[in-house]
Amino acid sequence: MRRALAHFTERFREHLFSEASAEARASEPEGLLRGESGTAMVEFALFFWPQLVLTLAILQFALLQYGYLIVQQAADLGARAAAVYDLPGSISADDAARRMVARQCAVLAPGVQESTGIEAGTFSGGSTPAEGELSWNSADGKLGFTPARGQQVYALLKEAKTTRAAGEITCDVTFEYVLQIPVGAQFLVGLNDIARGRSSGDYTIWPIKRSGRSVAPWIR
Amino acid sequence: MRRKRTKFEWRVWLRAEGERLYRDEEGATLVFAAATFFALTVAIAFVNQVGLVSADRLQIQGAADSAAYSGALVEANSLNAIGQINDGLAYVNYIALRHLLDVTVYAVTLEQYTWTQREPAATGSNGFVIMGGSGGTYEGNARIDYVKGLQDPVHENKDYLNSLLQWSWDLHNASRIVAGATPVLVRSTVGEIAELNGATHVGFANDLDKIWSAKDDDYAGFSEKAYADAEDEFSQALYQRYEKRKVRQIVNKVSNTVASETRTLPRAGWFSKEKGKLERDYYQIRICWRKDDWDHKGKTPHSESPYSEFRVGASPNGHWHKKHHHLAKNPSDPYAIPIKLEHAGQDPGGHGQPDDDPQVHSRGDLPLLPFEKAAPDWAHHRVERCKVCDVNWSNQVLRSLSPRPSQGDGTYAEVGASTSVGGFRASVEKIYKNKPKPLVLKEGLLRSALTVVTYRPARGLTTLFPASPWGMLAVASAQVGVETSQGVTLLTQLNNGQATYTGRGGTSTIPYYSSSGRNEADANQNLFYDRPGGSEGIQFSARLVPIGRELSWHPKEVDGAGIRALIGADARGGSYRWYAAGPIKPNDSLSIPPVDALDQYFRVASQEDLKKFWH
Repeated sequence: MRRALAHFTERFREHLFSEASAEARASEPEGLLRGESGTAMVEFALFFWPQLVLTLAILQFALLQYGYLIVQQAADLGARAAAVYDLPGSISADDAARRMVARQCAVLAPGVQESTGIEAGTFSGGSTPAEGELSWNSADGKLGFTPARGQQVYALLKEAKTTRAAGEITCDVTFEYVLQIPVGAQFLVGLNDIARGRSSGDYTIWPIKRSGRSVAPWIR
Repeated sequence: MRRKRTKFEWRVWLRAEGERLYRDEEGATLVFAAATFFALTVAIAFVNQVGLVSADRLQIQGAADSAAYSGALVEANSLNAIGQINDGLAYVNYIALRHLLDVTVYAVTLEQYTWTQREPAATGSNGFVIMGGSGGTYEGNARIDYVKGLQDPVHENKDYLNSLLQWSWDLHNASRIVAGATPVLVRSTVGEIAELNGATHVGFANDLDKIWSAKDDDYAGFSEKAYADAEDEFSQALYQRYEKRKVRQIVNKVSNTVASETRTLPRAGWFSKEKGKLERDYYQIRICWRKDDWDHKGKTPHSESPYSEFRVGASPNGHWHKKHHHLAKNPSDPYAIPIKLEHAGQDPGGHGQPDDDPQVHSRGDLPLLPFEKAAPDWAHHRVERCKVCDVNWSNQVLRSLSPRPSQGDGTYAEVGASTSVGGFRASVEKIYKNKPKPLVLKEGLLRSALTVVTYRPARGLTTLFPASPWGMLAVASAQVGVETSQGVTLLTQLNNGQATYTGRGGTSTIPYYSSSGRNEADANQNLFYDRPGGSEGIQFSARLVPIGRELSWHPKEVDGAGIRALIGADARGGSYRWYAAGPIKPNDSLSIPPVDALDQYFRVASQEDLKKFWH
């Protein structure tokens, strides 16, 4: 590393102080092109936009990771709910898992219908949640979710499928995460499309697929 | 004091500054890079923090799940242990019954041969085993002495039966020890498992001691009163338990085939295996093979004995009389009471009549049976009443003595009865009345899920993302269920002494002891242990159940006050208690995590509230 650096430095010195370089500099025209004033503005104009896009993309990427974490947690807890509710009762294990997943994913719902165009939906795979299931609020109203956000989850939750095996239950979740940061979202989706060699055309939805697992020794 | 700038001066200053900034190109990119790096830093910190919270959330939930499940498994294992001990009680009961049955039969059987008094006794050279030893004092009379010894079963077997009784009590006390130690084991296990899974505090009900007891109150999960007033039913349950149990044994002695079969005691009218005692004195059957007897010299309406089970090949049919005494009677008075004859003659036919059945009455040099001494005529055979045709050949006295076989169990016929068995009977019944009563399940234990709350402090990242002051809290509930080959089934219905367990493995029903009495549909099946899927008892296991499930709460805890107490202001001493995670010793002091703040956010007023937030 050190040798490589020394070699580079030597080459740079040659470039600056050699006669060939001096001639080259002397032959450059005078005037506007020689003046260095305003280069910063040009540089700014050149690099600001990519850098802004990069920054927004970083933020959107962080939010996306947040989404992955939440969906992963939802899948794990959904699998656990299915394991716990794998019993004869009022709701099936699948429904219990679905509700748990929806409840966990509720924080990922955009919540604002006007800006996102996502309306309340119902999950096609099973029964709808009980009244108030997804609009739970804490005693002081500071925690919990509004009914609108709760219902949005069911429009975005495309899959919450449980699979039973001996000793464990897995829960596969597909959640359509809404990317809300402008430019950053398009940049990320576009990058992903390029990487996958395709064109999705939808620059706001990022489907998150996660699989959770819960140990359930009481299932043979 | 500095003079305030005028508007013009401000404008000049602004232009100068703008000019300077415009011309100054130092650090231009640094500003943008800094902004980007700041965004990057915040993003990383944000994702890191969410990851921490999510990981902690899953970890603490895993701690609660594991602790509750492990604790319930300990409970299930204890129940299985008690079931196995009760199974042992049934086994001891079976041993006692078997011994009772055998020793009675042997005693009476051997008694029947004591009249022979043969000298010398059969020896090994004749192919007989000399019972009681050979040589020395016992030589010669050994067999007779041994027979006489067995005629006194009370003397011979009192100690043995008493040791069986002691064995029963030892087993019973062992089951009580198991029940008493279970709460301690559960607490220790829950604390240790919670700690191993990352919890710093663990809370659960302190009602374990009240549930794992046989006190006569609403909390107790066991009862020892189940059969206090029903000795016969209890004995029946114990016996039926063993009768149901399949054991590997030789089923075909010729081919030496081994299979799992139930092992039963023989059916006998004088012996009640269900009640575990002798019903009456034991007599042995002697079949009278004389055709003259069963057709009464051609005077009976039946030409063949109805007791076809005694027909062997071409042997004559036969039935028996109440007693084959040789009796004399006055032929001119059919209603006279017969008189037992004392014969002294040596007539080998026993009757001195040429038309007697030569098959029996001409026995050559065979030893005489007691009644085969001289008899004046064959008519004495008719003095006994025939139980088959119920023809009164004799008188009313004999009629009352010998009921028809169709009214009884067909074991009346005897040659002699053992009077010594009567004393033995009294002894056995006395021992059986002192049998310990087993621990029988009650509703409270079946309904009690083990609800565990685990706590660990939250983690944070500097002041940007501080740790939650509430910490991490998780609740899990696990309950004892019935093990099947398909999984663990769960209590789904409690109805008047019948607990129904349903699940993927099917449905099973356990009778339990309720205040209205025991369920007698299936004699205390819940007493006994069985392999999964078996029909001879039950095996308990455990599983997680939803919080607030109705049949997962002790009837005394249905309002969810326990959980409310855990996270609320009552945490310092309600029906639930907090401990520092780790193996909890019986005299460990309470240790309460900082969960008071939670109360204002998670106000749990009922089970419904619980269901909303926790699974």
